[in-house]
Amino acid sequence: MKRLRQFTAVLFVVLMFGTGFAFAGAAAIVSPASNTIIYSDSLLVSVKVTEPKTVRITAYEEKQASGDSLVSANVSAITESDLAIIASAKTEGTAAEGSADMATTASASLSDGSTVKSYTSVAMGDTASYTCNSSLGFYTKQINDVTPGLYRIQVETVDSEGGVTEVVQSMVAVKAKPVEVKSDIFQAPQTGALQFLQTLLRNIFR
Amino acid sequence: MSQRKTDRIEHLKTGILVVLFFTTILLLYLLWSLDSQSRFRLPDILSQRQAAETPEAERMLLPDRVIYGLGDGSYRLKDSDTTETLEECLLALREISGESDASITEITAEQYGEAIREYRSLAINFAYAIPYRELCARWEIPRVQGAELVIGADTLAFSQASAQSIFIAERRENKYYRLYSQRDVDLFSVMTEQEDLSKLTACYTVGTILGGENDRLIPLSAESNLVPLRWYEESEETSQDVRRTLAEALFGENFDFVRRITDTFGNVTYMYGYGQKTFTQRVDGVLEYKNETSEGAAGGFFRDLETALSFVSAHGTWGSLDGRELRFFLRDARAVSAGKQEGYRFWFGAKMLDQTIYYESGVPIEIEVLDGQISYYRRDVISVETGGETYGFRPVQDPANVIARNYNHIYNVMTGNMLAVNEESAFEYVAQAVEDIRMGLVRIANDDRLRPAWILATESGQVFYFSLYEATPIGMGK
Repeated sequence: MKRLRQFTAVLFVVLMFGTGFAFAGAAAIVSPASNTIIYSDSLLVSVKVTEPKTVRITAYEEKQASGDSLVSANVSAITESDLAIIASAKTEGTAAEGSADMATTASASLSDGSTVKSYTSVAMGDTASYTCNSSLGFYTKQINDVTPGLYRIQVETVDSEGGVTEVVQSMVAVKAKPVEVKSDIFQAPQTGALQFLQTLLRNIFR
Repeated sequence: MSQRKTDRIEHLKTGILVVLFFTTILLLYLLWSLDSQSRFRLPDILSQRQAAETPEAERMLLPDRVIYGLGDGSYRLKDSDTTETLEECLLALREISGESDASITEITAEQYGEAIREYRSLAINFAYAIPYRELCARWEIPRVQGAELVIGADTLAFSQASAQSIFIAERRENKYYRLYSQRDVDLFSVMTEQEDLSKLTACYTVGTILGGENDRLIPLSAESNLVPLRWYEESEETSQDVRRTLAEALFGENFDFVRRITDTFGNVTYMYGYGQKTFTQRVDGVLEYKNETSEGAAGGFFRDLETALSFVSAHGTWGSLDGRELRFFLRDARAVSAGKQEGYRFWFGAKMLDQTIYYESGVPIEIEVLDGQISYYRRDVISVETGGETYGFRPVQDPANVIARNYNHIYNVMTGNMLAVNEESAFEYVAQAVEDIRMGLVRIANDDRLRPAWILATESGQVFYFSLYEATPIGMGK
């Protein structure tokens, strides 16, 4: 009986501590989903933090050079698979240069045959800091007035000394919604005798 | 000859006496039998019954929510001042239905969902279905071709996908319809041009914010100026005389034949006959009335609603007796039947300054109408103190973190499993089960203050209450 109690106590302790490590990774970007195209003028940022840690969230717009100035990237021909290539190139570039604000190296080719352009990360507003005090927390924010272009959400997990221990990011393209085709969903409604007949039959067999 | 004539007259007298005797018995039967079942209506005995004001049935129909879809996965939510939007919608419905070539066709749930999600849209949601035939009759909406297909309506919607259409849905039955105008009219713009969407609460689906597939909406963040408010039972204010008057009003002229029973807890029950009518005044302030109804004709949704409204007016009030002003509204309605009798059960909620007051258990007023007669009435109305502390608007805990902090508690209650061995699956389970989350004031058992709270409803019907500013569990119900 005593052994059973000890075993139960040990099992309980294991379960108590074991459950704290069930989530993989300290931070994950739920929204925007990585490498997706968004038709909107706003961007939802939702970050899931699964450990009692502090994360820093920064939204960047990836701009391309036009003369002496930086302009929004032309994303009209970009596909979701292109975004994965751009994100990968960006990660490599960032790792190589050690800074998020450095230009992306251009080498891989995209779906239209062109190569990845050189993008410069421009932060959209200040970096936000969110501290999760329990085993699960969410940072959420809606970024409004977003124009078509290439955007990257970067989440850095920081330790107690302020050092970055983990970085996750999500690359998305924001496009203007195409002119809506209004007659796609519904076929032209039936009129006159056909509809009357259909209604009559429905009523008879109801 | 003279003797024979006299005999005939005597026989005639005897016959008349027999007829009179049986007529007396019949009338007595009508008087005693039907009056006890409230069908034989005696004049009102209380002056307050004649003076009582009955609210219009239309005023009680308050949309649960008005949702503006932006077509990009984000939504704007409006859950106060929705009456004007509904009136505009009904005007549009009447106008389109008046066109000779307008028609209603059934559409699929997928078509409806696409029109609402993928395009800019406006959906006016009710918490209950209103019989469409009665809705049309009530607002003088002509019946167009195909209108007989629509049984009930709990949603009226507009979408840019088909701007000349009004969508009618009965979500509980998974039935969707489209009222289509042949004219080149942009109903969607007419309905939405007046609204400043930037001032409304931004919402996304649960799946978008928390991950997963749940497509129900939750607010992204919110602000509130709600503070705890002291409340007290309406009946605490009510003297014995008023209670007796209420009992007399319920039993009419039969009150002299009513038994009064007081139990050991202090609950007082008035009973007529062998329990055909009972009226209980509970010590916790709840008033409950039960009545055996006789067979009659079912009244339908609006007539039953009017019967219920008149009854409450005549035997109480549609306002609180004291304290802050409360506005009552129809929170839910269900068709009911008992044997051959049919009717409706209505649940009325109360709002104070556009904030709904929730009870951990029950609602302020619940009433059932069967065959046009009141069969059940329960009143649990509170008064809320005036004055008290006031604050400006301040941020509250956002719904995502309310769920994140409490998913273990919700999971444990929902499944009965006290050991959640896998936190991720427990969280996914809860995120998938969330049906609704909204702000309000909650009356918790054994708490003398209404608490500002997030009210989280799950698809299994369980309701959880969390403090608005701290996200800690403060109650639950079903």
